[in-house]
Amino acid sequence: MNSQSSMNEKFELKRPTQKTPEGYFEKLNEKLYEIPGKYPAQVKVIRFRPWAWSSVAAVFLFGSLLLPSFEKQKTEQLLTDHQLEMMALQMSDYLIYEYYSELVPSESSSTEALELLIESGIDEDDFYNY
Amino acid sequence: MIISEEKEKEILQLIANPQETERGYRLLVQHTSEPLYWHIRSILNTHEDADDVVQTVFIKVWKNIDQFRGESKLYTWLYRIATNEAITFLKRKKRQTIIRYEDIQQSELQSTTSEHEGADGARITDMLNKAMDLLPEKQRVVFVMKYFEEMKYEEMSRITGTSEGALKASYHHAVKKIEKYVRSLNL
Repeated sequence: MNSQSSMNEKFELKRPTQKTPEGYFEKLNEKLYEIPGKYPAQVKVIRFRPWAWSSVAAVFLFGSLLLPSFEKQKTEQLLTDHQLEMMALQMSDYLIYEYYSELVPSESSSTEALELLIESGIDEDDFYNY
Repeated sequence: MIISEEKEKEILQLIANPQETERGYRLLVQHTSEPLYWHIRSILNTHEDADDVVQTVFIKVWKNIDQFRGESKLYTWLYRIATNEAITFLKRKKRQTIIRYEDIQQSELQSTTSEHEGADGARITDMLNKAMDLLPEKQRVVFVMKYFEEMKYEEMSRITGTSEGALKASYHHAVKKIEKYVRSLNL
């Protein structure tokens, strides 16, 4: 069994009503084969002019000076460690029992744990629910 | 995995040769358009949206085909483009039509009370689609990859660039929200 039919079987199993029009994939592939004709491969030429180099240097210098303080500020503004600990204490539902503990390696701070939770796609409502 | 290692090697060799790039691309389309379509369809729900996005994905693939360095697997690269395009589409669509949780819930309640009581496959699918509409884009994508495509977290992590722990939490959030929605319908 090839992987494509296996993939289709999974969908048949879990999504019995999902269908495509008759002969769709043949037509789709025909359209996709036309793409190279419509979008010819472009040769990318990057030309740097002297003024561009100085701009790049200025941006880099500016960024390297500002970024560390910006990152620190961002984390601090998010929530203080104390607030996070309080929040963690209040998080007593299954999710936190199961995942918060899993996400907090002993050596990492609660800030990192919260960042992981945010990275996981947690939204505002999730916070208010705790 | 949607392409065998041998096929991937063959495609990459063709792509690397400027005279054969287009042939490599065609072979890529032949082997990946269908699974990528289903991946996108499961995120976006409707055929029309998935059809639009899958074409955009292959335009991007073609435009960037010379930049694929083989640092990741070809299918990982393709899935990443497809996932990002689906998320971008969802965000754009969300801006255009704001889905109100209460409205959906109300309409679902009405339809469940007016229709018969048995929950058939079509209704379950419809209900699941509506529940998925309530998820933030990233949670939705994670849910699709885990639930429908049965991907391993390790593989999902490579595609999305997100840690496995975060993906697990994300999936859990998604399942909880879907559960909450289904329970609210009092089926």
